[in-house]
Amino acid sequence: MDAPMITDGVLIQRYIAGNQAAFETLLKRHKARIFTSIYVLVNDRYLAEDIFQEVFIKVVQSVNAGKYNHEDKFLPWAMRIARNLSIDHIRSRKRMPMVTDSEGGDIFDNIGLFEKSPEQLRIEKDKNAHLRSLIWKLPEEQREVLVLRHYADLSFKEIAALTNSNLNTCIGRMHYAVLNLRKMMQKNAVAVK
Amino acid sequence: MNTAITHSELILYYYNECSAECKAFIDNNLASNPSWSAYLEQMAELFHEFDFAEWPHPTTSSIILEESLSFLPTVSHD
Repeated sequence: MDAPMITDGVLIQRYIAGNQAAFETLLKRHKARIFTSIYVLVNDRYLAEDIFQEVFIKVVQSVNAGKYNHEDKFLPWAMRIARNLSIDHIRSRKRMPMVTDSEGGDIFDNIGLFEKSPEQLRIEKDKNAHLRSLIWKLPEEQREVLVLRHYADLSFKEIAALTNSNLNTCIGRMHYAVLNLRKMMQKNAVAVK
Repeated sequence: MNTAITHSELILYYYNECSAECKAFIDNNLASNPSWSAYLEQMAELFHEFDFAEWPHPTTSSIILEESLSFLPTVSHD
């Protein structure tokens, strides 16, 4: 039988009490969802790394200042910080200098996936980049709802609260995001043929 | 329940966020409404295609963990 999962609220309490491993678990649990969401929102890996770090530094500071009062609603709270920072960065587009490998590629794309063959990495990288570029073509409001629902795994109610929008508006944006992405995929399939 | 199901309700159904009443209604009538199942299949296909995840660089995670550690009380070995 699986052991019951320790909730985010309990992990934060344990961290405040001095348990560093609890924070590590929290980071491990949410990093892919939060990082993917930021990356898709800003469509720039370097910027995403910066924002992701900034989000968790703010999390650490807020928690240690006794300002965390969201119990098990850690993800919506962290995503609110991530979303606001992403919007700020998109608007100001403060980019770090790009660090490239000897072939002019993005060095971050070659790190962390060593168990895959270079060919697999290339295919995955190209596919993900293509998908991100399609999402990036969506109007900002549609892109935001899609990212927060699909990648951050927030409910539509949480998205409505986070974006100060009406629930039906959020769902409507999702509907149009789906229609637009399908159109782009179909157009792309025709172009490939 | 009203028999007119909207795209919004289908989206909520897809994400398991619709009311129990709405869910039961869609479950019971899905077979006789091909347009609903077509819409749900389109969503499933699309999101299967877009189902990818990215991870931050290990250094980024290490910096965060160091920062989190810096707030914890240090143990004196004196």
